[in-house]
Order: sequence, then C-alpha cells, then structure tokens
Amino acid sequence: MTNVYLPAGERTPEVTLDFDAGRFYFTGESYPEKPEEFLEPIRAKLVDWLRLLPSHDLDFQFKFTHVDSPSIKLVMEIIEEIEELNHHNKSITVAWHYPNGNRTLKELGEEIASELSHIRMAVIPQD
Amino acid sequence: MNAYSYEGPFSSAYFTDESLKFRDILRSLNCDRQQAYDLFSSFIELFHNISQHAAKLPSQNDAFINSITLVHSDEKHYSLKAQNLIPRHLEQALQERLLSLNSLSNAKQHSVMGLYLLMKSSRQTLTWTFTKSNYSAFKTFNLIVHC
Repeated sequence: MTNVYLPAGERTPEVTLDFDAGRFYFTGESYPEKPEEFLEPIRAKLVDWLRLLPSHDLDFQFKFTHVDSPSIKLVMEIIEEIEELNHHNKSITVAWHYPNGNRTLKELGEEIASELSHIRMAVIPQD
Repeated sequence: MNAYSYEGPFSSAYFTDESLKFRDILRSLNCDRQQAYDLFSSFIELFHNISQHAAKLPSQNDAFINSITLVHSDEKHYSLKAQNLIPRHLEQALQERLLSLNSLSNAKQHSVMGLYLLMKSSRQTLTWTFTKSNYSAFKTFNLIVHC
C-alpha cells in the first residue's frame, strides 16, 4: 500500500498514513466542505489495509483541534477495525489528543474510549 | 437583535464562505474559547444538517425557507437556531431517531451523529420542535442550542 501524506488544509487535517511503519496521524481541524469526498478515500484505504492483517505494530494518533460529525464517524469506523485486529497479538497504540481546556473534545474522546472493549484509547490533553 | 442570520442557499458551495463569516462574528463577540468552539461546532452541524437533509421545494430555491440565526440570549450566552422543511410524513421517523441521541454509538447507528454532536456541544440543551409550515406537505423542523 502506498503511503499517504495530506498537508493540512483550511478545514481539513494533516493526514499521515504510513503503512510501512504502521503509523497513522490526523492533526488539526477537520470539518471538510464535502466530508464524504475527503474522508471516504482515507477510510477505504485504511480499512482495506487493516483487513490484510498487517504484521506491524500499530500507532494511531488523533490530534484534532476541531472535529465535525463525519470525521468522528471516520474515527469510530477506524477504531472498530482496529479492535478486530487486537485478537492477533499486536502492539496497538491509539490516542486521542485534545486542546487542553476543551471540554467538548475531551468528553468526545472519553466517550469513544468508553465504547471500546478490546483496546484502550488514551485521552491526552495537549498545550 | 440577531448577531448573525443566514437564510441560504445551503449547499457545500456556500459552506466555506459562511463558516468563515460565522467564525469572524464569533471573534467579534465576547465569547470564551470553549463557548466559541461549541458555537462554531454547532453551526457546522446545523449547516450540514440543512444542506444534506432539508426538503427541497419544487421550482423554488431554499432561500428564506431554511435559516440559521445566532441571538444573544442573556449576558453570557447565545442561542443558535436553525429551521428547515421536512416532508410531513417523515416527522414520526425523525422523532424516533432523535430519541436515539443517548449515546454516541446509538447516534452512529441511527445516522444522527450531527445531532448528537449538537447535544454534546450545547451541554444537553438541544431542543427540537416540529411546527406548521406554509406548505401543506411539509413541516418546519426547528433546532435550538444554547451555548
């Protein structure tokens, strides 16, 4: 799978899908003008790759400073796939970073984390 | 007096300009960071809700039928109000989906994540009503959040 790097746009996050290293980062604001057009190719590529049962350890970092509902849905769908992989004895790191003091993003992270049963997602404030 | 009012058109082509305008208005108000975040987040969800789900009237654009309005509700708080038309026969189904806003996973399952986010951003103050519209086949769906 070819690695993907998308620089941050005005309403879209910086996205790093480093399939070689098993590292996946989403950073910044995420409320795309056309959510489906922006998010669906990312979701499809990641899910396809995860379903190949990659041998890497995995590192997912969600560092949103603003997030809309389609972007949260993307996060949930990715995490659902990661949960399936947990049965394969992998080291899986998932973290939700939120701007320190932003109660809405903190609570969203905590709520997503609370719905996970096989993996743990850290919810971390950042300055 | 309204701090902001927009009556359409509602589509992704207009979303960028309006979101920038709305953000500028928030900067000019005396909002704290959290309040500005929650108001902006609510605006995004309300705009998407109308552009994706509002009923379209035949041979008419949506200007002046659908709207988003920001009003100063008291010294420290704002109300963000949105209204759009829905087909009358969909009211009951929408009511039922609105009742699934009790958890993130339920909201995802019932495709009402945007409304769930409105609930979160407004600290559970989201309210909705269905009122009579000027068009017999449609009702007006009203959403209000307080931040």
